[in-house]
Amino acid sequence: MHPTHWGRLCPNETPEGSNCGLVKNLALSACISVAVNVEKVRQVLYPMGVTPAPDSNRELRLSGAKIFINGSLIGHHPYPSELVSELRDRRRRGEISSEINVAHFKTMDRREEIYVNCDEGRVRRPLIIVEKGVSMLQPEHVEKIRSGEWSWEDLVKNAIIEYIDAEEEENIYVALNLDAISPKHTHVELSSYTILGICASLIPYPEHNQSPRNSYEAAMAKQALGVYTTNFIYRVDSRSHVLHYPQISIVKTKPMEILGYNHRPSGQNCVVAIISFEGYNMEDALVFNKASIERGLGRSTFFRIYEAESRQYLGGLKDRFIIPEAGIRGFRGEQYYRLLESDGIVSLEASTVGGDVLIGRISPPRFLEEYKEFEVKGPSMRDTSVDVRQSEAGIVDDIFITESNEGNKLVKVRVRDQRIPELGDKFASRHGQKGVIGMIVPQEDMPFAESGIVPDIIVNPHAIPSRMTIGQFLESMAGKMAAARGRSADGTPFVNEKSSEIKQTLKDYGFSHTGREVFYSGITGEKFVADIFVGIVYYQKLHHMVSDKVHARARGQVQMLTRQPTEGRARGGGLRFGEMERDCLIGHGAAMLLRDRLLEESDKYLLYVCENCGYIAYFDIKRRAYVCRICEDDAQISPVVISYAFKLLLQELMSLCVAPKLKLTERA
Amino acid sequence: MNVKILNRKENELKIEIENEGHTFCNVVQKALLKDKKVDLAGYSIPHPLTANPVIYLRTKNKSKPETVLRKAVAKVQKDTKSFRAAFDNALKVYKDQATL
Amino acid sequence: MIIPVRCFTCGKVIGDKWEDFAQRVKEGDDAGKVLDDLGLTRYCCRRMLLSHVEIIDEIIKFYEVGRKQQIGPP
Repeated sequence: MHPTHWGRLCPNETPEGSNCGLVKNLALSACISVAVNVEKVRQVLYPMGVTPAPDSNRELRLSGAKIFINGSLIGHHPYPSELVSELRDRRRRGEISSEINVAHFKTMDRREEIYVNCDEGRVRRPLIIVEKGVSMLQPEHVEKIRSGEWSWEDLVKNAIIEYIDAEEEENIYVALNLDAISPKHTHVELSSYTILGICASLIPYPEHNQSPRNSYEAAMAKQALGVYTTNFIYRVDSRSHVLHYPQISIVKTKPMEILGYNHRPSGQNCVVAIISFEGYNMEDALVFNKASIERGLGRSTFFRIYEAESRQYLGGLKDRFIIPEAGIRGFRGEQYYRLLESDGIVSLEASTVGGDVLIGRISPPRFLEEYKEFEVKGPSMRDTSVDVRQSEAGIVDDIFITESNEGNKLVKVRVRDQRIPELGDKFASRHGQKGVIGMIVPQEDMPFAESGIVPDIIVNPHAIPSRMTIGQFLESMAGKMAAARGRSADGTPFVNEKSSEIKQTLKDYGFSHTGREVFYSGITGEKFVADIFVGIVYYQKLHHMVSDKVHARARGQVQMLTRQPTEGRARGGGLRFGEMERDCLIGHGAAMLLRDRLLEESDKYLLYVCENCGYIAYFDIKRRAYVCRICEDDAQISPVVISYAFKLLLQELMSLCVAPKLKLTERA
Repeated sequence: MNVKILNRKENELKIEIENEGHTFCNVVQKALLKDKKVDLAGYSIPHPLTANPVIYLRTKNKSKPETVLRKAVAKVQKDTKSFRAAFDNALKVYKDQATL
Repeated sequence: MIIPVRCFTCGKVIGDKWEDFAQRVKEGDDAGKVLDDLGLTRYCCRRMLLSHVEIIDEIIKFYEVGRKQQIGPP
């Protein structure tokens, strides 16, 4: 990080892994400059006393300051400080564009330079101007804004706020807040939390967290489910999630209201207790309350779009939407088409599982010319129906029939699936405390308090010490306090409700100032010796759900090229037994298992090799035997068991005119 | 309630109970532990989602585990009956007071 | 989206209290007092009403448009 990032780039919002530090996010108040015509700026500077570069005499060049516009030297000026303050005054008065920024540098050997920047792409941030130790922003201005009489532009026009880029920031002295203003200061910050970007400003009490935890949350906030837009009924997004009961976080931050996050929240306030529970919340797993889930906690719906277009091909042939008949090539089986209506499209609200056909379509064969050559039966249609993905299921939500750009009939089917939280679904608080549901426990077995409070989520205490996310503790206590008093808590970075206030308010409402409560075991009914820390924390459901990931394969499709199992869940693939796993088996000395994994279960292949010349022998149909073309009669053909990938390697080498010969020995 | 006997030795008894949870087993365990003839009494639920609870009982010297278990269960029944009666009574008193 | 029927945590019925709560808060009453008047003492039930957003009011407008124009969901 670089000090110039202050107020311009978010210090916490950057991805982990390969893109760390390369993908950056703009801070809340920062904006990018727009270009101003260079000629206009030049025409302003010359009358102010700048002597154009070719005209400056030697004396001016030595004693005067160099003037640059966008990095190019344009002239010299004898009195640089006056020029700079005059330029800035003109900018504040509105006589020159507010996009222009001026910086004045005095180098060690008394040679001064003035940089005037008016190009596009500079990151600038707004600051309140301070004159003679007094901020230009006064209560009457704030009133005008509140009443709507003035807008942001009016503040800039009236020289209350000005935009400063990185170079001009070298010449100013910024006070952190109104209390810190002294006569030497030239500007004061708008608010300290504007150094953060969008995602980081959603975190409550972030200054109490270890910094990387805020970065993780900034990344996870983008994966949280909510209501992304209210017209999702009409949209055909290829995949979308909608949370059923989103709630505004009870511990808010000021930027949330500005961003509109409170109109489209993406999480729920949960009663969270911090205890170990039956061992099911170890290693960041969470224990959920079964009854809460049944009443709607964390419920979401997943929508997916399947589309099909009936294209037209050369020769007048075209696809057709129809229920395919039994004899057609690629016919799947009667049962898969059972949900289709007469037009070949599935009926609304039909319950589908993986493999069921949604849009029945037949297409003419791909390579028509080949058929004409062989004069086989003639072009027969084949089934190219669109079916539900193998591992998914759902109910047909809506069907859109329209026309594509080329004028072909286009059908889109949206399938919805309700996702109730189950073991393996990922949840996270706003402090980088992510976790997967480890157990769903009935309400009667949950620890309970005398008031009837039962936790929705149980978090393991081991998740706290090494991560140092004190922000979560503060959010928990502030959440409890906010619910008790009926007003949301302010967790804005740097200007939040202090912990002393939270503790006092908790005491006022009858809770312990430690945030702990007396709990009784749900299993034995006895009081827990220690009081349990419990409060309200905003938890987000992330879109990594177990039903999208669970995958199994015993035997299945193989790739054409390598004859190895396919890759990827959607293609029914296998999990790669990689090089490092191979090393482990070698380390154990498990030779048979290795052979099993790499040959039997993968691409075992029987290759016939001529022992004489070492090349691959091939099968002669007429002679019904394996022959070697090179050795003819001298040939001694023997079979070898290799992986198909090795045979592929041999053939690839052969295509490079390298001759790989195999030397065979008898099996010991 | 289906009870399956898993193991039966001299002084030991291990039974599996179908479709019950802590609600039943914990109460029985606590009652068993109060009995002086009991050496060891405990239960475990191998996994809440897939398995039924297993109660294990070991008695001292000459006592038969079945007898001890029956006695404990009878005690629990008696306690719950008296609690139910006391609760109903208290509820009635409360309702009467409320209407007054 | 629409007020849940019961409090997630304890199961107390809160669905019947939303309209009352929203109306009174809109008129300017202190939310904490309204919750007390509605009989919600535990903080689990209180947070259900305090943090709820009735997004369904915005979503339902799209259904109404569809019905008027005879397009979209029936």
